[in-house]
Amino acid sequence: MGIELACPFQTAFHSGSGWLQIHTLSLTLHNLSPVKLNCSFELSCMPIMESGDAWPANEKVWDASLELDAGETKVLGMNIWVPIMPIWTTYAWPKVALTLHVWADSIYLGGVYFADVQVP
Amino acid sequence: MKMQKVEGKAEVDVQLVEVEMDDPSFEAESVHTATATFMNPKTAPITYGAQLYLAKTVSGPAVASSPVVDFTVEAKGTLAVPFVVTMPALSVVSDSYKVYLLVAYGGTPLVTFVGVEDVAVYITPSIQLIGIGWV
Repeated sequence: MGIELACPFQTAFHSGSGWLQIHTLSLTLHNLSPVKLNCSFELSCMPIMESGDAWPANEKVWDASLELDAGETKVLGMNIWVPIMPIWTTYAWPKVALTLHVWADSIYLGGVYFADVQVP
Repeated sequence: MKMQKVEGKAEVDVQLVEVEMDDPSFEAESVHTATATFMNPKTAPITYGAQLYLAKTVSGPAVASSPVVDFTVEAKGTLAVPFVVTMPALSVVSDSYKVYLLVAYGGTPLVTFVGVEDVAVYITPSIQLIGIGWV
C-alpha cells in the first residue's frame, strides 16, 4: 500500500510567494494499481520556524478528488492560497511546508511532504 | 473456520471436523492453503474427492478453486487434507466471497459445506506522483 514519489522534492521549492496569494501547482499522478481508483487529495500547509521546527498545526488549503483508471496518468491543477493565522504573525515564520495527503477508495495512502513556500 | 452443511444428504458418512486457514483477508492473486480435517466413523476406509472454492453463492460461479483432491480416510480415522487456492484477480479494490467445500464420492457430490465467515480479497492501491511543478 502506498504512495510513490518519482520527482525530487527540491524542484517543488517555490520562493517569492506571500500570504493569502493564489499559487498554482501542477501535479501529475499515475495509478499503479490494476483497478480504477477513486482518489481524493488534501493539501495541508504548516508554518516552519527558522530553527526548522514546525508549528504543530495544519491548515487544509486545497482538496480535490478524481478517478484514475488502472494504469492511467492524469494531471491535476491546484490553485492554492497560503493562509495566515493570527498566531503565525507573532513570529517570523520564514516558510510554510506543503504536504499532500492521498486516499484511494477511502484508504489513506499517506502524506507526502513535497514543497516549501517561502514567505516574505 | 467454522463450516456448516449447505447442500447434500442429511446423513452422509463423511464428517468434517474442522477447517483451518489464515486470517480470511487476502491479497488478490495470492496463494493460500486451507486444511480440512475429515473423520470416518465407519469400520471401513472410504475414499472421497473434495474441492474448496470461493463464490458468491453455492451454485457459483466459482471465482477461485482448489484442484479436486482425492483422499482416503481410514476406518475410524481422521485425515487433514490441504486445499491450495489462488485468490481471484479483482476489478475493484476489495470484494468478499463465501468459502465452499464440496465433497464427492466416486464423482457424485455428497455434501457441500460453507464457511460461516466470508473471505475478503483486496488490492493494495498505489499512486505514483510523477511530477510536481509551479505553474
